This record gives sequence, C-alpha cells and structure tokens, in this order.
Amino acid sequence: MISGGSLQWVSWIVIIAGWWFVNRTNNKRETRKEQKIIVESLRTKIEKLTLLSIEYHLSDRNLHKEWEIKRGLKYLWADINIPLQQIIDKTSLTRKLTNYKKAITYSNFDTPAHKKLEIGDNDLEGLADSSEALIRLIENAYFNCYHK
Amino acid sequence: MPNKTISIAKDFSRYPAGRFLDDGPANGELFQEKFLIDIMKNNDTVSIELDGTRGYGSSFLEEAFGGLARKGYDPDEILKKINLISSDESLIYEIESYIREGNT
Repeated sequence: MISGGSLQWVSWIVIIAGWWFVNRTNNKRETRKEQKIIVESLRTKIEKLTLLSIEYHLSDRNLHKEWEIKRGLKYLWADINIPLQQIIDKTSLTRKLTNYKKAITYSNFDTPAHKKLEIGDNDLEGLADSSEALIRLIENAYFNCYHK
Repeated sequence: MPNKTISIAKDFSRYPAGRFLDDGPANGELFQEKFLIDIMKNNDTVSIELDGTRGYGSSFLEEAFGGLARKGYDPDEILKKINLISSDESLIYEIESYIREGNT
C-alpha cells in the first residue's frame, strides 16, 4: 500500500523534474534566439566589410579604407569563433576566413601600385564569392544546430 | 622549446603593411630580411608573436613567410624553426599555408 508520505515524495519529484525540463527548454530557446541575433549581426558585419573592400578596389588607393579593412578583418575570427564555437566547424571556419582575407588583401592592397579595378573583374568576383561562402558557413552552422 | 620570442608589434612595427620595400617602411620583405633569414641561418627555434599589431594584409604575410620558401628554404624546416603565436588561429593557418605553398 502506498503511504501518504511516499505520494508526497513522488509529487516533489514530478514537480522538480517538470521544473528542470521547462527550465532546460527555456534555456535552449533563449540560446537559440541569442545565437540567431549573433548570426544576423555577423552577416551584416561581413557584408559591410565586403562592400567597403569592393569600394576600395574600385577606387583610387585610400589609406583610411585600408586601415578600416585590416581592422575589420583582425577581429573577425574572434567575433565568429567565440560565440559560435559550440556549433561551427573550426577547420571550415579557418579555411573560409583565410580565403576571404586573401580575396581582399592578397593583391592590389597596401601598395602604391594599387589600381582601380573594374566591375566584373575576376578578383572582385572572387571577393564576393568568398564573402558569401563565409556567411553561408555561419548560417548553415546555425540552421544545422537548431532546425534539423 | 623555442629560445627566443620576437613580437612583430614590439620589435618590428604595429603597422606591418605591403610586400616590398617600395610599399612602405614595415613591409614583408623587410621583416623577412631583418628577422626570418637570421632564424633560418641559426640553429635556434624562435617564437613569433603575431598579436598586438593593427592587423595584417595577406600580402605582407605571404611575402614575409612564403618568400622564405621561394628563397629555397624547406617548408618543413621553416615550420620546425618558427613557432607562431596568436589568439587568432586563422592567422596561424594562413601563414602556414603560405610557407607550404611559397615555392609553388
């Protein structure tokens, strides 16, 4: 026969388990929302940097833009890896980020020999492609984690 | 265990930029001549601290480090002698790729 004392214990266990489950679900939902905001802000940041870089390569040399571009690239690894390290593949991130940096600063950059490129130039197409590849990596990491 | 640490920001420039001597005062060619060639000629392993600058263009990194391989130094030997230190892992990966691909 089940005593009143045992039933009370069972009630407490159910309450605590229920609280734990609801708390866990809420935490997951809040983490997902935060990471969505981070992913969106990273997309905006990378798009802005890409636009700045394209403007730089389409114009006469601009030292201020060079400084801004290098500054933007300098913090990009930490900006992506620190908040998303649980969901993003580090090896892929390293590769895509390196390709992106190279596309912007490997040639026609940091040199008096800088020249204005034309729209449609292969280097600019490569820059746009590498930017998109980096953004896709970040967004896919989020979707694979939370929407599969 | 590396015997010495070189900080690019403190020992060379906080504003490294460009490939060649004509590109500016803190270019990749100059960094290679001032620091990296000496490292390769000596027996010691040296750590190179990459943090602290205002950022790197790929052109600087490729000329400084990839240029070593173009000068005939074996990439494996370069990687053994130079220990790269940075909080940015993508920077280390990038430089190592230039060292491996420098003479291709």
